[in-house]
Amino acid sequence: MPIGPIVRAMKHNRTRFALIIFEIAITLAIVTNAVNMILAQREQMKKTSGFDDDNILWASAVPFAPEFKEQSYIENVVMGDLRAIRAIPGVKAVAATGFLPWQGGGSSGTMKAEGYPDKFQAQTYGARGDLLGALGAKLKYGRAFTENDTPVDPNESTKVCIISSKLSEKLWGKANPIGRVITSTEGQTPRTVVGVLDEFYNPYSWNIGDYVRFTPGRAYDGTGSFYLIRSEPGASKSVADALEKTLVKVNAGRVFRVGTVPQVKERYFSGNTLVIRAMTAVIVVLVFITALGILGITSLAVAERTKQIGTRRALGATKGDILKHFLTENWIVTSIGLFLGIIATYALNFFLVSQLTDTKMPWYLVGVGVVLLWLNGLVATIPPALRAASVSPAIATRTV
Amino acid sequence: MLEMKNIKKVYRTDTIQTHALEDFSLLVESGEFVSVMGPSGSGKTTFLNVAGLLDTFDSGTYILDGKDVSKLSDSEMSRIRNRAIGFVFQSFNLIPDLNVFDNVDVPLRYRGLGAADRKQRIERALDLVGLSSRAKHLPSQLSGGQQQRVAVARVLAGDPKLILADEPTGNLDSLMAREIMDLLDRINASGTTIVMVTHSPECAVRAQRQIHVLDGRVVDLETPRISLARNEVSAGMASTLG
Repeated sequence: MPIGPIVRAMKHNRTRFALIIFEIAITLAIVTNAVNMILAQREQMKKTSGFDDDNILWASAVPFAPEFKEQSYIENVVMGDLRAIRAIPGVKAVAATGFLPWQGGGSSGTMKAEGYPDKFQAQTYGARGDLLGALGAKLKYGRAFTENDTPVDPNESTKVCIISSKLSEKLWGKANPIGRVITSTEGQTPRTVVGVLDEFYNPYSWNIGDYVRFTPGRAYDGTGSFYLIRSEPGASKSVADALEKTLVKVNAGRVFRVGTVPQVKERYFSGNTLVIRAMTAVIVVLVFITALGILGITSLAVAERTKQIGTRRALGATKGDILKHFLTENWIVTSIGLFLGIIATYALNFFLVSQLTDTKMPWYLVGVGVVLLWLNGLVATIPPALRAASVSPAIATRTV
Repeated sequence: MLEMKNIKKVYRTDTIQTHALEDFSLLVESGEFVSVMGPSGSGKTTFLNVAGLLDTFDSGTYILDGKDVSKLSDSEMSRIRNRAIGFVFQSFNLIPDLNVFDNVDVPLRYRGLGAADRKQRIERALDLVGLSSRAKHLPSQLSGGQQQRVAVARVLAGDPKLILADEPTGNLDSLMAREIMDLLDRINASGTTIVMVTHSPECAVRAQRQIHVLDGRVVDLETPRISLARNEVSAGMASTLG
């Protein structure tokens, strides 16, 4: 099919073709980036926390009684809570902590580590009681916290910590980090690593979902206490039912809330699900609009050029020649649009990566997008192109 | 060159049947220049469409250049239109977005000729109609007479055995019409058969034979005055025109 004369003829309808080229380019850029986001969201949803999520419950107790201003009073109540919860049938372990898996956030801090040149950021939580048991987490190195790790004096800093293996690798490579020290950014409050969690993931804003430092501190005060409870498999509901009654018995001067980690996880991923649905809708609408645009432009071209098509047929063009003419015209427009679209795709991705925590665009995704939009253009062109091919050569002799 | 016997063509809609050609018979010898006249609606254009294989017919036989073309496929008809027939239309039918060179090139590309051969044919045809200097112009940059000359160049480049002209001077003033008729005369003198549908008696008398069509039938047939041998048709065209 002669491309030269088609391109030269297209130059006389620049605006029309420029619009469709622009539409194709924008569609490729948005669709590929939207698919990239969806894949990233799906990848995130596939991640595991490293905990026994299905059997973890949480309970919070917010005091209203005036006695909760006394540190020793709070201490006694929390210790009582831990004992009482542990005694509920079906409970395997319990810890008082500020950590809640799959919350989509938590607390974090900037720290320094022995032998690591830069400051680094990691999630940080205090925990008292059987933290590893309550999470169902496994240790790669070292030991769990003991009661002795928590200083008797609440004003005294804790001396040890447990970190995630990903944080350990970031700081010290593959080596066993037990005995290494992590400090504040000023080099204060040194804490020796006594344990390394085999697996840890808790979604967090600044790409620190894999990095955590637990300390055996008192993660409770006069504003309230928070507990993670791990139940036997299948006992989650009975434990949840018993939790509030149990805590009321320990001290009734508080407001209680109880929930499960699967609920928290579902709430967290509802955002991802929403993003996936919204992005899918954007993709479908954009591809549909682009197909409609190509269909419209080609239909208009066929309607406007009926006499020309008849003339070409009269001059010897077969139906196949006419079909090829319009498909070639579309191929040229789509190719230019997709070429510009590839540039726009990477430009948009560069912006998203720099402004948001989006992932880099894999080349194969752009390739798939190009092929699909090519096919989209082809499919949208076929109906009007077939209409064009069916134009009778006798049209040429009609005086319009 | 062209022999039609009892051609019948009926246009049908849901409610109406129009008998455009009724027992239409005509013989045109090779090298003839025949004009076809008749009032509007008499069937002239339908005859031209059937003769040029632009449209099919319902019954009868049509022999074109010794070949029965009554039952050809769409592709075969396209091939014959492209190689054996040249069309000159009343409204020129140039592609407005293509320049003069590319317009003349259109049928040659469908013939699948090589670039060098096409270029040579186009340059020669444009030279014959005196438009070599306008090769890069768009049709909109040319006068009506020049546009019709481009259409004639498009025919000449294809070197057809038969030219079918549909009111070739219908959209031209008298001066330009005379130019085009002179051009057709010269082409015919080189041996190419021409069948011209026209309303204009002045143009019709330029043909060697006039036939009249009424109600889809040939009503008056004059005897051909000149009959050229078939092998003279295209061979001498270029030299004569030059």
